[in-house]
Amino acid sequence: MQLPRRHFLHLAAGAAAFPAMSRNASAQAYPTRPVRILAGFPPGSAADITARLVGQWLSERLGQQVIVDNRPGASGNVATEAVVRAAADGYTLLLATSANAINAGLYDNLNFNFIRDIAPVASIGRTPYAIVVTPSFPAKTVPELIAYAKANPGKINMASAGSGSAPHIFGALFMFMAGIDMVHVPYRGSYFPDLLGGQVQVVFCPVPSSIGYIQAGKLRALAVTTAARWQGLPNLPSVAEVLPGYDVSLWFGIAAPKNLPTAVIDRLNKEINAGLGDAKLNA
Amino acid sequence: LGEVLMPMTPAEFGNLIGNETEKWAKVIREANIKPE
Repeated sequence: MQLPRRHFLHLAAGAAAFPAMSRNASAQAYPTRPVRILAGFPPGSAADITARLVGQWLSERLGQQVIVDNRPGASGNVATEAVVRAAADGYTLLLATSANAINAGLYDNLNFNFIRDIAPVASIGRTPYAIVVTPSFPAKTVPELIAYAKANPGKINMASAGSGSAPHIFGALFMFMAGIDMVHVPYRGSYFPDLLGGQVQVVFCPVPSSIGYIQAGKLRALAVTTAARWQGLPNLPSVAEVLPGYDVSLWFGIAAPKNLPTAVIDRLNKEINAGLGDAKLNA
Repeated sequence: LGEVLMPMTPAEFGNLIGNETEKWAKVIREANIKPE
């Protein structure tokens, strides 16, 4: 059978358009099965709780189960590599954090390139940090801390959750911008006992984990690390009021393997942003 | 959690990731920070 030329061209045009139509159709149908969010930190961590809150919201909005799969290890690198290697179909997502941005400069032996191999999907939020000192520490403000550190080089101990951790990196940027030097003391476990006891004097730590000590008067906060003041402690100045441009925090978002169809990215972004504007997720 | 929510487009979130990656790489280099 010979097809008339016009009929043949019509069919050919339809065939060429088929992959795009198929992608759109599959994006409209997405998801047809459970979705996993890989979190690179253990259950109970801020990353885990954030993933569970967003997962619960997405489950309701997408009509499919969204499961949080904890893959702790190597500061989030284990989970990230698993997502990089996963199919770009929207069924494997990553709870991305500041640790991913830090790790990209910290590790020179990663089997992936975070920027190149991951598709950004949606931002979620950020946790402010604070400069917190032991109550007996003489400085009560950031300018006093800087002046004291300049007068006593190498005599202030700055705790962190480990070399290359967010508190370490945030402190390093502060020291660089302020032109001071503090002794870095990495901890494998909690630094709070030593901070409360005065063995270490300064830490850059998440506000949520220190606010109880601050409000009880057991520790003193000098400043919040975000560019603007935090509404939870409106009387606490920001570091940027003394060191303009200093703006650090622990952020969270959702990422996916590269080449995830734009329609799926846009759907997830729309649903997550709707959640961020909803009182239920905002509470 | 004390999180400040920050809705963004995928492109804006990509810019945040790119800017943060660049910023921390400089600090890590300058301070000669090594992973544990």
